[in-house]
Amino acid sequence: MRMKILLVDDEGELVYTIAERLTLRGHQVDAMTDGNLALERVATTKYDVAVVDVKMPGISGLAMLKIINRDHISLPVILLTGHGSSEDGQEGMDEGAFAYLIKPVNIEDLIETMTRAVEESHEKSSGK
Amino acid sequence: MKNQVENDEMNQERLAFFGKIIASLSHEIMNTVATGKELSGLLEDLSFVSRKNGVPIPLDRMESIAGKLIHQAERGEILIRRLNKFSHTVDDSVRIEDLKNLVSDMIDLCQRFALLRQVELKADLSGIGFTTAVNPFTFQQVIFIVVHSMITSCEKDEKVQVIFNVEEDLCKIPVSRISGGGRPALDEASSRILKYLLSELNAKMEQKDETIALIFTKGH
Repeated sequence: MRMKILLVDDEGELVYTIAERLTLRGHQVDAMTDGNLALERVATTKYDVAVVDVKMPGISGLAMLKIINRDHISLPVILLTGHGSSEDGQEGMDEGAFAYLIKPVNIEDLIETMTRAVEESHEKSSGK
Repeated sequence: MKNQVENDEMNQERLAFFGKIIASLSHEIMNTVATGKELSGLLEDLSFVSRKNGVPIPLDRMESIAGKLIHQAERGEILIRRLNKFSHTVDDSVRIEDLKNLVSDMIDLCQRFALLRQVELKADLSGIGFTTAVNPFTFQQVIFIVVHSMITSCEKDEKVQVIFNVEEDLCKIPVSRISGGGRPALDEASSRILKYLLSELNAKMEQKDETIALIFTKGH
């Protein structure tokens, strides 16, 4: 399944490299390092799934998730957390995140989680 | 009894400070490792595509990725050195140190906290040093409390400045919030902990407008 993905992490080199790896696998990726700019993009662009780092300058991934859920219910969000901060991930799940993954992520695990998120989202929107 | 409660509370605060710094550094190290892992994975992906299509990976692409990998390794090395140096501040209850070096190390450790708040943390450490007997861990905890409180009290794009001044037998370290607004930088709990630690270091604090100045004398 080819997906349109929004990837947000303030670690520029990390986010652009993951984006390139996903692009090599046929996905369309917008990689961003600023959560506020990413929220602006979400308002104007339709994505299949968003992958968002929890701890970022400016706006946190959790705050982004709350806004996305408030305004764009059809966009599933996967959170990336640092090792040992799984309570952030759990809080994200409580806020409606599809899943949380602990960095460093395995690219195939990430793709598998995103695929599940998109499939579930499609099932929900088609009322299955 | 009161002293025991106070000591227990202060030990808890020391542990919390140690934990905050270690958590912040390990988070940064993990980002370095994660980036290195992805860059290596990218090389693997490009090799796979190259083999499949029979087209070699362009040399400048290889060089670019190698350069980024080296950068991440060097970044990781700096972070691990900081972690190691900080961990060793608990080795001695008193040792001879240049306070300027301890301030410099703590400013480096506080940069991530500033970044997360989108605050600029600047230090002017161009003056002479101040070598004295000190408990390095407690000294750094004091610097952290003041700098971190200042950062936390800032709005986005504001600035915190630390200056290291030596005047004869006095070392004065003003930490200023360059903003305006007159919000208190220290909350009640931080203020109380700071006073306790300053008394341990035989040092004092002056608070005026947007500045908290820490004052140390020789041989505390």
